[in-house]
Amino acid sequence: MWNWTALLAVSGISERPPTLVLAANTQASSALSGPAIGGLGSGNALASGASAGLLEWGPLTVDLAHFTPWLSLAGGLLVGLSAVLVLWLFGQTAGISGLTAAVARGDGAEGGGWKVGLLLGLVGSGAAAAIFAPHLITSPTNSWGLLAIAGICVGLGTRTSGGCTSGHGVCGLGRARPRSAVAVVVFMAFGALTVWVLGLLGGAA
Amino acid sequence: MKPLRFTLGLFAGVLFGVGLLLSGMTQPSKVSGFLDVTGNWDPSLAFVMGGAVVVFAAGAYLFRNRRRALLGDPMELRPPAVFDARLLGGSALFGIGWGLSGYCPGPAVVSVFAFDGGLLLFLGTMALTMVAHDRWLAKRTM
Repeated sequence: MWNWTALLAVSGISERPPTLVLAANTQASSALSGPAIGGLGSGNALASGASAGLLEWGPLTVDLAHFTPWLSLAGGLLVGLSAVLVLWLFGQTAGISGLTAAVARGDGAEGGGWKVGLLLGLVGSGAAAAIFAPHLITSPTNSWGLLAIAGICVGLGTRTSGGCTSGHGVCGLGRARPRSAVAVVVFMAFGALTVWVLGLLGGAA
Repeated sequence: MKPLRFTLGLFAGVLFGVGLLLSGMTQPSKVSGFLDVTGNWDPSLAFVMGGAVVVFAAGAYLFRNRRRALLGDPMELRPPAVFDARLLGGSALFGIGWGLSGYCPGPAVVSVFAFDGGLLLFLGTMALTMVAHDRWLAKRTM
């Protein structure tokens, strides 16, 4: 538990702390390998996995070198808290695709300007991170052509289906809406499929 | 534009943004790592959605009987549970774009001031497509 708070306090504001990240990984691996080893019935998974940073878990190969369960969980809790705040204050779903579309259309002032405020809060937190904790924001790795196409897919897809990872993912699932559950399963599946195909094509086409 | 509403929105946005930043969602390679289930899978982002869903579910349950939000707006109504080509096709398209770039809308907006050319291009085509959709292709739900 102390590790969780230390991580949150330190790596959120200071530059990349390799030792702490490593500590988190070790802890994560031991937490995760409990059931994994039970499932595999073998003690070798941890030993071989820890050295390579990989853990064979059933049919999956878990990338322990990049696994950040505590930070990701902490971030998720904050996102959830923000969505609750928006529901409580404004009675609305904090769907970022919907908010972005409203502001891009020029309807940002509706609702008294909280939509513009929220987007500016997102941008502002990112600007602060770009200055004080630049390792939290990394560049996309794929070509500009692919990114332009991706933007069209995300823009059209989220507006047609009525939500993205926040609207359908967090708020829809949180309210047990079958429509959102379907959306999440479909976009996760197609996301995974796309990354698989990209891998077959050798990364950036 | 009302200062109180703007400021409260800003606060919610900062909270949301810090959450995304800590969680790793503003690192496209981490998103790809999560979607790469057949390769070296990084399950971290399941913890982001898991944590957020649990907190939001608790909040939504708490406010389930409210007619009006704190600032007086009516609570948003439940949309009709329509399972049509728009839901399925739109979600599939979003998933493809998410996989191609490593960005969903929130983290992309948060990352603006990193001034990455590719990201700005992504945001530009995303916003233009959204506006085009809402102007010419929008239908009943949203």
